[in-house]
Amino acid sequence: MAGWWRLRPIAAGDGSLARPEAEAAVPVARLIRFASQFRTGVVGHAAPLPTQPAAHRLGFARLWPAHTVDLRAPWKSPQPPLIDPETGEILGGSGSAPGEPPAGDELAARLRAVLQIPLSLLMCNAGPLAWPAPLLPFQQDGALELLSRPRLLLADDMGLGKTVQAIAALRIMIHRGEMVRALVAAPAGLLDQWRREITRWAPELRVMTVRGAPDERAWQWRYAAHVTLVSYETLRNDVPGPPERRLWDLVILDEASRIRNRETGIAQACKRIPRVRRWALTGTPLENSVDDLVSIFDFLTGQPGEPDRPWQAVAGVRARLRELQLRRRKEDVLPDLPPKRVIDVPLELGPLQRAAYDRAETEGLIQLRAHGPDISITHVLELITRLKQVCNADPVSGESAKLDNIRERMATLVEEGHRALVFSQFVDASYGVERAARALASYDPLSYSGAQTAPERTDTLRRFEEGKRHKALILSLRAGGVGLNLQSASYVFHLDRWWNPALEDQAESRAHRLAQPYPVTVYRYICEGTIEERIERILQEKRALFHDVVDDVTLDLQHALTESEIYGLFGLHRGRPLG
Amino acid sequence: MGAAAFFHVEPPQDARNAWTGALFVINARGEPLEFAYNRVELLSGLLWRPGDRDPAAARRLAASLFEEVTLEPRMLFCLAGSAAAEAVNGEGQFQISIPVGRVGGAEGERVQTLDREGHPVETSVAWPAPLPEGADKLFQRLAQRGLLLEPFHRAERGLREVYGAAPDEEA
Repeated sequence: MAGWWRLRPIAAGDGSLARPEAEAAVPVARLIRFASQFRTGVVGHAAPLPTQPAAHRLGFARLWPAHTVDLRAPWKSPQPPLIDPETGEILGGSGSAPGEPPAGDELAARLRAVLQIPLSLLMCNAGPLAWPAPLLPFQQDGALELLSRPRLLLADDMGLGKTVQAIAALRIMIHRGEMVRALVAAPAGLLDQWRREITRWAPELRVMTVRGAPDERAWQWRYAAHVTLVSYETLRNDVPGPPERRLWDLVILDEASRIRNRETGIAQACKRIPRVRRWALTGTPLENSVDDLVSIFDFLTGQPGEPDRPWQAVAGVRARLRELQLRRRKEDVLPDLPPKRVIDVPLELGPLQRAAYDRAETEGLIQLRAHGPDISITHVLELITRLKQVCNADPVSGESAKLDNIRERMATLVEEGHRALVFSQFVDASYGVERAARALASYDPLSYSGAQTAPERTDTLRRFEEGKRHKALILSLRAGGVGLNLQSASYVFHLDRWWNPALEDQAESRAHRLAQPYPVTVYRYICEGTIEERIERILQEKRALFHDVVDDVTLDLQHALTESEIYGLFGLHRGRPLG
Repeated sequence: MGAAAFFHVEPPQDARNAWTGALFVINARGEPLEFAYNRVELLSGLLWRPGDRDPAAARRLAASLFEEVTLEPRMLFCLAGSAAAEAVNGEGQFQISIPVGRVGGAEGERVQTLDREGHPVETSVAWPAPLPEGADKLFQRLAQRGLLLEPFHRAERGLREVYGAAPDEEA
């Protein structure tokens, strides 16, 4: 008997029991026979009960042996039962038949499931999990979808809080004992942000970031964390190795488009991880072609060691999207989010920059033609890159119509108390991030690029968020275009254009996201009479492709970029199909 | 911070005259720790005075469940006015050394909590004596997290899982 309660030794019936006999008889509630009469140890009245009816005196009752279930044991099964988020009932089975309880282990497992805190209470801001901020209704819906679907591509628009939804679902699963360990793979630049978000939204969870030298990583992989964070590059380096040595209850790929090329080491490493549940998060599941999705589907539905499936027909991709994807658009779920206004700014190059551009294009075309039949798509792309650089700034004179325009606009917006993000695909001092930082020096800008170490990038973001004197943050599109929360800026400048509209949308969504109090204004520059005008036409077509496929309207693959279109940018012709 | 136990008794749902009972132990975050369950049938039903049957069943269930549970809770809750509350009212056979709170009665401290849907509701909790230090923190935490009424629903659901749905609920 536990120390927090005891039975008062009471003799039942006519008082003929001696105290020692009664004490021996009553500790358990079962019938006893004494002096030719039935008695029970559980009576509940200190005094003799001569007036009680016969049944009460005799204690005519049948008490079964009690059972207890330890609910703290984690799931032993690799696949815990799924709970219907609406009803809280276990899916895929019914309760035991009225009458006898079912067998022990099965019943214990079912009790562990049904006795967990209801999801409605866990999602509630004032509930047991005490969320630091209310989860918005669509975020609750997203978390419930993640909870109920072991395989899900969460493809919400950027800025709707995919990370928070994943952390909320992950926390609930750990809280309910349905999961012990999760692995999150993300771009290196987002690992610190993941850690911060987990600290905020699930402070009781143990988090380990795997990074550093191999011997350090060895113990980091072994550490009993609820959530292990790793960059894609580190994961690739460590597979085969420690990450494969356990069955992860959940593997999350953040910015899952990183595995869109199924041939890369990163994609193959991700698919080798033994995993029960798998979620892929990305606002841009499709960047270039429908093929991007196939590799993500392989991660979601395949098993470690299983070869990738062959290319699937477009119709099949659409069906799989409906099955595996949850996607919400900002305008649908956040009608109150301040609008995003995209302004295309046509610019006329100054005389020096114009001359530099014309010279570069003429020379480039001569070189292309000199290749004759050996010309390749790479030669053309190199020329495009070169011309885009000159559109940013003339490397000789330093003249830049774009940077002049940004400076003028900065003067106004800073005066109004706003701050800006400036994106460029280039980093160098002549055309890219560093060049822009120099041009905007009077606004005390900060730079963020892949040339910095992870701690340097984290420090840059902290300084920008905390130091209001920094009026601009200049980011390389690749390093800063994904995952970051930069709502303190409400103006976005694209110094140069990118082949990929999805990446541009992502970059703009660093500012246009939840908690942004102001309308976001995006400026995109197009230098007239240059390659940028021609690129813009292709971007428009690709933008249509993205919305068509991902949002499941219609799809015409003929709109995808072809090699002949790229040659056509310079009036060249070559009939080979792409790739 | 310790654990809290919720004692719940379900009256018979069919002709078998079987009472079922649960002692459901949770921590301050509401996480389930232990679930003890049992049932008792009162035989020769006609010989029992109607008013005696619920308390008699609750006492038998309480004794067996208290005996079975392995954790030592810091406080015990039961629904005010229920047979479970009467069984552990301090006057009868059980001597209980932890505070016993009666939830949802006319008396006691008014507190905000949540229903099982997560909606805020006001209820009351009556204690026989002021809570000792430590126990009061656990109580405050449970109240803040909406965990004063909801665990009884879980205990009820657990009993249903063990013994099956009542015929009227299945209909």
